[in-house]
Amino acid sequence: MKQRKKGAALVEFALAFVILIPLVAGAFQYSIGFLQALRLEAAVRAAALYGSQLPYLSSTETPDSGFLIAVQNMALYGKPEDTGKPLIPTLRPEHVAVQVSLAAGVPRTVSVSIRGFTLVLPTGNRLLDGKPASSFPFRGRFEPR
Amino acid sequence: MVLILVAVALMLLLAVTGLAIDCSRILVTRGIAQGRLDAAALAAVLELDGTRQGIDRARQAAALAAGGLLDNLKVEFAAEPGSAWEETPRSPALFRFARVSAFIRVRLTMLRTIVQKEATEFRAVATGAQQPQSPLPPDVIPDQKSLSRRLSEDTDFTARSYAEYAARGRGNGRRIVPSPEGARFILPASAPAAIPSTEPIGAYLQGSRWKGAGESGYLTAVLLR
Repeated sequence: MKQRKKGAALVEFALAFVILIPLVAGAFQYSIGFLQALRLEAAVRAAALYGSQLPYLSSTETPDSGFLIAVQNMALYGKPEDTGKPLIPTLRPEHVAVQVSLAAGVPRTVSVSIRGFTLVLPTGNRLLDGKPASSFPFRGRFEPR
Repeated sequence: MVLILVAVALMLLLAVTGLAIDCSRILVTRGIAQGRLDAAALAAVLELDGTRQGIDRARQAAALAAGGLLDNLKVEFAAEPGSAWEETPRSPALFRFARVSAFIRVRLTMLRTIVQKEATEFRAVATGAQQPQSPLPPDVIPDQKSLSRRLSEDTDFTARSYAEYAARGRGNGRRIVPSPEGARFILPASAPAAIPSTEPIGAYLQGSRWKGAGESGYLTAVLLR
């Protein structure tokens, strides 16, 4: 009788295990994906906001390298220098697209978006191309060289 | 007994999972909406020049910067942060603050059956201001203290013209400002330029085609937290 009860408990445990483990694993993976999405959203917003107040030295929509690197670093490290721990370990400078739009020859908006970055989710990997994105009106000094 | 326990535990587990999923969606939406509102507030502030046209432009710029995400956008203006916010100021001469708000609606998915609601709604707000700045970057004039003193001595915040400024006897009749050339700000590389006596008093707003509202000197658009 005692052995029968033990067997039943084992079967119940096995069944619960089959349901619970994927549920916990899914929740864990979802939370990591969600955290990455939140971080990316915050990173592009901080980078665009920072870029909107930097001096803009180029006379075209292609920013100068100093501007580009500083804005990309803001998204990657949370500061203009490429030092310290990256906010999102797998994010690289080539994933951070910086666009400056001109109107009547003057910078109007600074946009930052994520391109070609793969977000790992329980439902499968998701390629981020153009999202998340953030735009701010340019309010820095315009000093074309 | 075991069946009942499992059923209750499973329901609780599903409810908690639903809460986590819906809360995360609300958080992500809130982040996106706040970013759009911040951009809208700054875009509005950059258009304020003390005129009714400036107020109209500010409203349009805010709507454009907010994008389609926020369809119930409310744009208000104030002369000071503590004063009343007005959607259509009667005399906008000194209005240099813009507040942009919207109700954000997030559709519920997992929690819909538990809370008996289709969606949840929250209000997001962003406030921008035209803030007086030192007229030249620190590398041009290293002594910021003397520059600030000079600015405070030379600045009249309410004079509407050079004649009024001079008649009040404040300052020394000359003020340092960056030279606006059309829509561009060209900073002088060496000696700062003085305003000619015919130049009306008005603040140059960095990054804007318009002179700023209600201040004189040099302004920049900032977000207030």
